[in-house]
Amino acid sequence: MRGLSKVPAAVFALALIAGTTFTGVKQSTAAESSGSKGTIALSLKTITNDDFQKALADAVKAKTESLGYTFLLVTAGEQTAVSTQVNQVEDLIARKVTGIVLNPMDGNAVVPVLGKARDAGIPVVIVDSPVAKGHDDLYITFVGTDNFNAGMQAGKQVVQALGNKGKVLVVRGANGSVAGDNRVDGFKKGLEGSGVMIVGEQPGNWTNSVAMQVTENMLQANKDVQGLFSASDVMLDGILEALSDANRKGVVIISVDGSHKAVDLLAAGEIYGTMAQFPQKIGSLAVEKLVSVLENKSATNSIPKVIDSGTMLYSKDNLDEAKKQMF
Amino acid sequence: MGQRVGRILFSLLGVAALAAAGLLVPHFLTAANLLNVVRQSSITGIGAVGMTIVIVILGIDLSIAGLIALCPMVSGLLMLQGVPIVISIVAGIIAGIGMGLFNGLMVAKLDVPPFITTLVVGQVSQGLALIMNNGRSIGGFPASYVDIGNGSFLGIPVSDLLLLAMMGIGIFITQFTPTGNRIYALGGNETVVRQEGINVDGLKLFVYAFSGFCASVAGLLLSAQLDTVHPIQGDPYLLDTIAACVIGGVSLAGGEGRVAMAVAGALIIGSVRNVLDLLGVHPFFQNVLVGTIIILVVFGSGLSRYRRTVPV
Amino acid sequence: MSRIIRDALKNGSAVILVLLVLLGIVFVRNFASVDNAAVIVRQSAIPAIAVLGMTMVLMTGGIDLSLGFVVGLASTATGFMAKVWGLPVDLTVAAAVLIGALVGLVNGAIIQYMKVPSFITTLGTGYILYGISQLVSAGNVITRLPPSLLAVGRTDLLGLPTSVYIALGIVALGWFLIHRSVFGRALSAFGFNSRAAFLSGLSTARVNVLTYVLCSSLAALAGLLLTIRVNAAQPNMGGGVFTFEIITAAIVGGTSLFGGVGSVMGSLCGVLIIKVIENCINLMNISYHLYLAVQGGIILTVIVMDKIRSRAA
Repeated sequence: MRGLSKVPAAVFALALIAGTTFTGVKQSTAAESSGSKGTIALSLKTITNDDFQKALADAVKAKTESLGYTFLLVTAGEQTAVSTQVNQVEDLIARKVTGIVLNPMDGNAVVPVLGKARDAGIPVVIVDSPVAKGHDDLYITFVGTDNFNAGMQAGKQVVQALGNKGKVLVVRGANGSVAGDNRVDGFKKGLEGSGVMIVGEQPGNWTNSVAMQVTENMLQANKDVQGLFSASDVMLDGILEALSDANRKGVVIISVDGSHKAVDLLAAGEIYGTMAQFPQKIGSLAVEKLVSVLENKSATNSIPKVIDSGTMLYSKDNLDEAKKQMF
Repeated sequence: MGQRVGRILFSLLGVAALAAAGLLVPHFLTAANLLNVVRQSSITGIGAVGMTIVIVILGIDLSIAGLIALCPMVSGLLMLQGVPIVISIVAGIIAGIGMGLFNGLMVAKLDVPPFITTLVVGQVSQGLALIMNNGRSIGGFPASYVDIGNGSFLGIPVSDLLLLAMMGIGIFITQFTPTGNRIYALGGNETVVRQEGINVDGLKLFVYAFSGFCASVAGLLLSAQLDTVHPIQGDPYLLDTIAACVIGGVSLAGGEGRVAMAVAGALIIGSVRNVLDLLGVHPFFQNVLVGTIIILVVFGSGLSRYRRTVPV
Repeated sequence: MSRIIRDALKNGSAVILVLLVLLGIVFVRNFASVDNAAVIVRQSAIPAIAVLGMTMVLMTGGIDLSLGFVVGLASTATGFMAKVWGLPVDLTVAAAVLIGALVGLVNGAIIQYMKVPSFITTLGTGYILYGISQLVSAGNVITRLPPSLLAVGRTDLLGLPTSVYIALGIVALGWFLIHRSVFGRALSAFGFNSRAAFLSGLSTARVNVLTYVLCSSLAALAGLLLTIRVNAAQPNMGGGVFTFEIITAAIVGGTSLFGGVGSVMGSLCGVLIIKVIENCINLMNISYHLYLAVQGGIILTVIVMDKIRSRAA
């Protein structure tokens, strides 16, 4: 009985696989055949619970399609899947995409695969997170926020808001995240030489539940805290809940990203400020430069190697502007 | 006999799936892509060699994720200091074997559940990998090391050859040595094996040390491929390795399972991901499909059979 | 009552917990306060609900790797039902738990009738659920949930939120189910000899499936309460990390991966042990890179000590 039932099961399995992969879950092949100029792929870590990456992806998609190309999204799926991203880019090369926009999960790990892309003649633009130094020949340009600078600006703002003295907590991103590390390092630099001290620093793992737990615990150890820096807007919900549960009011909270969630909180007076990033600008610019090289409208070496998309503080003083630019 | 039929059916299923993929998925059945798939699956495959043997003796090794990060970090830091490549690599492997021995010691002498000890060793290894370079990754290794991950020998990628070699070692140990016999016996019934006077503790030490060895090789290969050691590069490989074993028919109830089939399981997982990538399936759908396919493959092959009557 | 205490003390994990708490009081500043104790209790309540289900599954010799993803699905669903569709609270709660039950039913059916090992089944369904959660939410987080929903878990009673009392109630029910009912006896028999379970008059098939239904329902409830606690509904709530934390808690509490052995008190202590350790690590502001390593090291040390203790006994 067992042996016989396996054959139809196997056939069923194959049919299911073939069926599901063909009923509309594909992103691009249909469009590809109807006269698009080629496929531009975007490789990211994830867009789940990450407004920034999502806004970046949306911007890349919009610009790609407006220029007559097909858009393909590839995500590694988790915050830590470094080698998965490399495998996916290899697969993109095998698939012969026309161009690649890449947000590297690790600036070193993507170097070999970028070499393969170059050998295959596929131009690449890097966004958000830089590639390790010394490999300029492997990509056209890097477009992104200077995370260290954003953190540093945040630090300076906190010093100002606290009148040059006080104690702050830091909620970091996930261990091993370069962007997160850069922001916190920048924040510390911004505090240098001031009377503001960091009394607690723990990883919030980019998730609300973990951020809430570590903030709760840090508040237990520090009854007297005036400020708090969050490495990203995505952890603010949990952090605010922890603060409210512990009945701490008036804590100066500053974070990074400039998402609409943070701007809403800003308008409601719950946070002090957020260092804006401009993912729409990053995504759009990246595709623009990529396509201009693809269509031979610019020489690669006429494009600056680093395009800083900038940052600025959103606070209650510039809410209107924030609302216009937020993502 | 039932196992044999299962394995034959499994192979037929595999061939049929490959053929279907070749017809339906553009760019799949090219030499370049297929070699990529094997290369991409080699890490999981090498990990699965060690994991198979651990599962056969009713254990589990959750430390491989941490070791895939720690061992190359040790080697990598040494290499960047100018220490000769061979010595650096040996150092990394010793770290892996050392952690494996610790696991074996805890399990054999102190009766600590393998789940706990290997989980902890994995976390400690991960923590060490983070501390050793302050959470940053390292890269830019000597060319001869990077070639291990990216080079070819007589047209075959070195990664694939390494996978074959490790698989060969695993097959040799399990099928052609008395130790292998004892390992399978141990997975079947520990009390009987002890009564026969066999050094059970020694066996367990060996098995966990071997798994640590495999994890260290897998990690060193990964870092050669990426020319990087990223402190948390091991994370995706833990579940994939165990899944590869189970797909390949290694029984979680112990006593059964072949190294070669586990490696096949790793190749299946790698192929599925590759096919989904080539088809441009949306990332959200990929998750749904990977889950469905894993279940269907195991169901369809009926390889996983348990000798206990517990319906696990 | 005294029997319950005796049961608890027989279990090594209770002793470990007491030891850790004493060490915390002596060595960790700010640990010994009513406030901090309340924090730990609040953090442990929701995992306690989840570990109950996992304990049952482990007792049958299986494992449920989809647990963390059920949490995520329940969270996503809650956000939609409560905020986007504006459904009344009791409907939302019931629907969330029902979704969990459905997932458990699918898990149980595949494991029992298609004979696919629980490791693979639940790994597979876990992936599927994560994909579904992402598709439904389009990766978005829903925050600022309606106060009527939040009240379910956050109403303050004697200084603790209602979710704690819900957890206590469920743990008590679970204790009766596992240690004092026919179903519980069948669970224990599973690990050693399913024939005995069969002979006890219950269909092993139904017991097995029911176990998974219960586990996922409890996981869904945990997801709902976690969403309320954090006031955010998101697909990556819980996840693999949460699943592992729960399994570790159960095993630290004495449940065996091979089935047959399991204790509600033990698993509860397991959860508390983990949360106490995490609390101390945060209080002492131990380097964030060492976080996991220190936590792991402490767990291993206490287990080894417990093994030595039971050898010497």
